[in-house]
Amino acid sequence: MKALTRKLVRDLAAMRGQALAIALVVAAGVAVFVAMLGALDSLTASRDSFYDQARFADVFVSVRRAPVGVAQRLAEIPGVSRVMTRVIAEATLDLPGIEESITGRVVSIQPGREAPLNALYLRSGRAPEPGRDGEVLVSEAFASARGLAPGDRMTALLNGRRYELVITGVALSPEYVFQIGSADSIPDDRRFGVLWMAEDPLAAALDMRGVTNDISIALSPGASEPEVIAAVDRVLQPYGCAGAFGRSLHASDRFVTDELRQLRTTAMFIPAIFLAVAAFLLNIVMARTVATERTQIATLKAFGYSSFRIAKHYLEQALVLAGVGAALGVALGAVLGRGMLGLYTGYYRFPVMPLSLTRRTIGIALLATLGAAAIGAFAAVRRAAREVPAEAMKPEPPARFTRTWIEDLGVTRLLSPAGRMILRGMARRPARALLAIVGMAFAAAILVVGMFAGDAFALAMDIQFSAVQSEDATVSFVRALPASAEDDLAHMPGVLRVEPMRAVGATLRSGHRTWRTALVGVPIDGDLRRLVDRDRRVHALAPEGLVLGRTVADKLDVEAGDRVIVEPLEGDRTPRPVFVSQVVDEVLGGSVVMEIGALQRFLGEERQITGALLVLDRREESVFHERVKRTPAIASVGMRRVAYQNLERMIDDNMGTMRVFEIFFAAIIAFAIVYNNARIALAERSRELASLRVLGFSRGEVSRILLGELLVSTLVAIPLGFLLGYGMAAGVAAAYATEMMRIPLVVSSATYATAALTVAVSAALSALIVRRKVDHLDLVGVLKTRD
Amino acid sequence: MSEPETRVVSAGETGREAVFVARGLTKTYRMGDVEVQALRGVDLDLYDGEMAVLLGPSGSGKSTLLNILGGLDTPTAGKVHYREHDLFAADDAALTLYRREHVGFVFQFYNLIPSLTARENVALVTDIAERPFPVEEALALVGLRERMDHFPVQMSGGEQQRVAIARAIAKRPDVLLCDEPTGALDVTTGKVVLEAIARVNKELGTTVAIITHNASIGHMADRVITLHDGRIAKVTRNAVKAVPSELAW
Repeated sequence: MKALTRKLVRDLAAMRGQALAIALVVAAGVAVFVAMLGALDSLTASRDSFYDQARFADVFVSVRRAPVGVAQRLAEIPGVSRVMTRVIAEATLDLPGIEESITGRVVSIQPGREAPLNALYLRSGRAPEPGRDGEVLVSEAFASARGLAPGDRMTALLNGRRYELVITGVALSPEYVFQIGSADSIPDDRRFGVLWMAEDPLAAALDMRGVTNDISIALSPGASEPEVIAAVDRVLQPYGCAGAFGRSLHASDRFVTDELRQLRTTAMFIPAIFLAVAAFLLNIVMARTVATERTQIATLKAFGYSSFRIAKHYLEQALVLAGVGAALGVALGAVLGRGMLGLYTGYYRFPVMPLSLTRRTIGIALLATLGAAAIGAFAAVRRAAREVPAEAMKPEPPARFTRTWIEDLGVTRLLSPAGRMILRGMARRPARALLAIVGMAFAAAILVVGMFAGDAFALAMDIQFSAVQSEDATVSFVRALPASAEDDLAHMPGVLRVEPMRAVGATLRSGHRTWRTALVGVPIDGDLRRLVDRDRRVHALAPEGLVLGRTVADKLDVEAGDRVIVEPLEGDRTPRPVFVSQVVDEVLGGSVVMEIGALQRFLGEERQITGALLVLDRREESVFHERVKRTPAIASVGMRRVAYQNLERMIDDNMGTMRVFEIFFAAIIAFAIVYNNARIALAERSRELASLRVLGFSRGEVSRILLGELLVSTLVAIPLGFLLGYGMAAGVAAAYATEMMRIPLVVSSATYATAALTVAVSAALSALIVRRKVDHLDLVGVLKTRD
Repeated sequence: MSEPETRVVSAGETGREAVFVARGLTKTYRMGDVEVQALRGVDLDLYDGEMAVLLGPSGSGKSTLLNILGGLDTPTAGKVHYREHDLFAADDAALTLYRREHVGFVFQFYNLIPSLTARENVALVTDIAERPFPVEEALALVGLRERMDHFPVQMSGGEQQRVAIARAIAKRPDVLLCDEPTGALDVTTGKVVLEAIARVNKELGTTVAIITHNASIGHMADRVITLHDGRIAKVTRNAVKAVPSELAW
């Protein structure tokens, strides 16, 4: 080993405390990056390969009733490569020993034949055999939520008749990677499941032999999706076509794509902060190292080491530090990434490939880390290279201290000599003082953001489930019924109150923008479902016009007062303009609301309802559920309490772990910054402090001077961190504005307090360590050394 | 002021070749807000294999002169050559190469790298030298074979300075430039260090220049060059060189 390499190793060992702090910051950043990008790569690859192997269709359309022969006509459309017709129906499922009613979507399959499109992946058991009518496959999400296995039995209420079914296997489908019921805004795997059943018995049960109500289409390469969609809609027009749509509007794919996009943003954003902090730390640590080793540099140069070799030496020091952090980060990232993938497999049901740590991911992580380290060390390395040997041999001239502008204000008269030393110390290196403050502020900010998400989700949930929704149950009928159904509901056991709803699928258009959603009509005097925005303001429902959620308004690029073309997917399907009466910045869901009477007039129908909101007597809930199971007209019942629990669990699963890591990592940053600053202040000041000690200052007094700077920085950094954190939280709130949820921008005082406390504790710990060093200051030794 | 005939000694007089030739050297530099004239026109020749002591009080310009000869610094004006090397015109890279190939330095405060052992401090130089001594041999020459694996902090000042000398000579330099080598040492230790330098001069034939403000060290030199206020004030030749152990101060 070359002597200079030995120096490198020993110097790094000597500064291990600071080195470790920096390496940990790097490791944290790299770990998040590697974990998220690894998970992202793996999920993307899993999705793509699953879609590919399962032949996931490109265009989807449902019709009321069309002869299966229509498939031939669709296949003739230019750009269409394959067509598959199926029968799909919703059923109420009755599982042995389960009181609540469960909605099952029953999808037809052709036993013994390979599906041309949307093929299933058999996770366990076997496919139903031809001729065995009661055999079904169930979706994995549902099976694992309910603990179902091959051989288990259930009863399905299908088209008013009860069927005994037996599960032969558990399957995955590209159409239900993210499984969500048509009436739900949040996945509820316990109360919604997909069943695959042989086509013959299913069609027989539904009286749909020879007809189809669901068509999937694959496009040939290079085909134009909009043109095919238009042609498909034309062909299916006579059959009650609900409008064909591409993958980008497919419920499952939309969620998966949204999630992957969000993951990518986070994977870049968080590591960038960590690397910036690491670069900053390296900047101050390396600057100090080079200043301390000025004479050593000069000596090396005197012996004929070139400026380049010297520069390389110090650059290596920074790169080794960063490299160790990066290696640690990759290892940690692999563990973290596996954990994250594990969480995702609970929500995204496809055969997930193992965590994919590609050379690209690791390469980017390493390059970014080394790049950040090089940038951080640049100024110090340049100074080392430029050091003139003859100059460096001489003792450094006294640092330039001047009266600061603050002193000109006359403040200093109020300050003790120690106070003046602190003030001038900071004013002499304003850039560093500022950077130190900004660094600590960032640590506080990361803490604020990390915990903000928790605050925001809690508030969002509270708004949604106490202000917006106050019903106990939401009932959906299998089809629209006359308004008298409201009375029937009111007479069911346990029902205290009923508010009718009319929901209809619709395509909304504005210019070239399109959105498919459900139009929901609610009574103007109803109070079980209110319009409440993210700031908890309640908006009165306008008697006419559409009320759009902010998400939908943004997707369509419209505001209140604009017109939207609405094409209902049932009844008279002629597209007609409707004006937007309100845009509500809501928390959850992307639905569109209208006053029920206005909606019924728009649809040109007598008062028809598709469901209702109910207030239940809790004591009679089980009787109510029992009755629902025996009421063929009710397709599904959603319970507010259950939806709340589901969402809470989903948020906990998704964010809980990440939040713990974020807080832990932010604490690392806070500690690393504060500790490094304190150590450097000590190194720079030790001579001065020893002199003061010799002059008779006590240890406490000397420590106060040194730590005073730290205290001032901390006091300035914390409020700055709050501001920064609030700004970043606004960014996160915007980034989380998905179709499913928009979180309010609120930061609780508990969050601010925790952030401040973490930074303060980190500062205090560093101060303690440094204080111990001050106590052990070798007075004579320090004064003798020439540096 | 000096007499003209003592200022420049011709090659013929000693029978040796002048390795350093400096004419009209001046050096001005700024220190803080003050402009300092360190050299005000110095003419000097140093001969192959000679031991020269540059004597003078602090501020006389002796360190500046040594730095220029060693390629650590460049003069403001004048000419200075080491053999065929023009040290005035040389750029940073050329000076680095010159130092690497020809010059060994010994400093008043030793300037050892604290994180390296004695052996490794010497290796620092042998790593980049063309045909160095084995490290052990260089340390043996200064009598430190047994202390090779000690860190600077574990050695006395004299030992540290001897490591510095071993480090300077390990690459077989043509010239050894010593800046107050005993400045930080007591008399006894100082003599041990000077003995090591004298040995290098005698046994290896290395040209040695020592700067000091200690006049008695001058007795071990071939020539004593006295500087005062940036000029050469006097040059004396010793008929007989004293051995360091006989020195007293």
